[in-house]
Amino acid sequence: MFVRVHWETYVLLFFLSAFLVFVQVHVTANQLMNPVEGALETVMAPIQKIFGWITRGASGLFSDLFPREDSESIESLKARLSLYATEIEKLKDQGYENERLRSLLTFRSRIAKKTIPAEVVGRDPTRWFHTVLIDKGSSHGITKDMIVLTPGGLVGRIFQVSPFVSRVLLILDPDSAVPAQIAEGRTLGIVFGQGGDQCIMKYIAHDAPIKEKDTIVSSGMGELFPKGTPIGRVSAVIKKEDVLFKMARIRPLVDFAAIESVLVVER
Amino acid sequence: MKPAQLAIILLLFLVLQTSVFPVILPAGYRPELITVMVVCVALLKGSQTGTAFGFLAGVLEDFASGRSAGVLAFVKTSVGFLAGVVPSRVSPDSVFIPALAVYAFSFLEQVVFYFLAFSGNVPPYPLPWKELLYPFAALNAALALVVNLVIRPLVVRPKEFFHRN
Repeated sequence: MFVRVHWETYVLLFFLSAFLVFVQVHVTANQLMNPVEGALETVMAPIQKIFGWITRGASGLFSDLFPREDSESIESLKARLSLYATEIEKLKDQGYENERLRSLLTFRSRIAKKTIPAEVVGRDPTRWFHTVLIDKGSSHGITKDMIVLTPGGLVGRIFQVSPFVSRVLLILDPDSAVPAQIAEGRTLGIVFGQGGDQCIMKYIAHDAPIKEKDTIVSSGMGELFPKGTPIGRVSAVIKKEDVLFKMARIRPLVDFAAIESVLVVER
Repeated sequence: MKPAQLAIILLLFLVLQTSVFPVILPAGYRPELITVMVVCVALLKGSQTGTAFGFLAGVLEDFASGRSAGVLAFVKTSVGFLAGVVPSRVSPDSVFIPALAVYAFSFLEQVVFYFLAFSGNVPPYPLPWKELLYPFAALNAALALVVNLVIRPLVVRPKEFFHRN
């Protein structure tokens, strides 16, 4: 009896999973979050945002407060000192935020198109995919395939939208492909995500002049990514004999582990 | 069992996994708290609860990812089911069984996910099996010791707990 019920449950849930696969594939094809997913993300986003603030604040505070002395005679001084340290940390945080927002504003004014500033509130829970959740959605004017930037360079593109949050496909993701070229020349290729912290540029002509530390920018082909958007720098050139094309490893200019604010460029 | 508290812990773990770990931990050193929890629940309550809990956890993760297309629901359902079979063969009260089970299932789950997640296409990079065995699965196993202690009172009734000991 126990085994029978057991397997029934398993089979039922298996089919439910299969159904979910079907629904997700269908929804992914339309590039929209399904209503349940959208609702969940909308509810989770503020919580994730709060946790993000706490994490960033705490990690900065701990690094400064960690060294301590044990003498009892300076207890009061220690208390005052830790208060000041907290104050300094707060000021540092504010200064850092000011700097970040100022650079974002300066960068924003350089972009000819209208932009929507957004904050990163969550990341993909798996180790295989590279997406981030931002706190702006269709109600703020965001639509799919808008590109996402930071002052450092290209972050990715919007691939799923719900009314209040959107998901960004990072250029590190295996499904990301950006037509690109060397900034100082006309060597073309396509930058693919590899799932790690680097990208790979493929389809580079075998005799093309490309070397380490060359800057890679989007080529504008395909019309999705505007021409000249910085992507990264060449960290290694991979050249094999008897192969038509060569490849290059690209280290992105954006520090994806640290991105907090981004700009979504309207089309 | 206290489903409401378990659900809150599940959501908390999801938030930690999506907004805290990526900020404070380097890429290879991020544990999978949800898998740890699924295995621990399944070890304590058996296959039926493990399967249902795995499914719920997997669906939540699928929604949080937006890329896994239901694969996480399938993989976690399977992990919940398989981990639930373990107690009938070994003692669920051992401190180290959850850690060992989490180590094995964390690795297995990631390997299966790797082959299913790219929709039948050739994965764009080789399976980092060494990184999965260490540090990934090892970190999960270490966390299992703590997670098991936290969720045990929520999953096993005091009476049941008393009888087991």
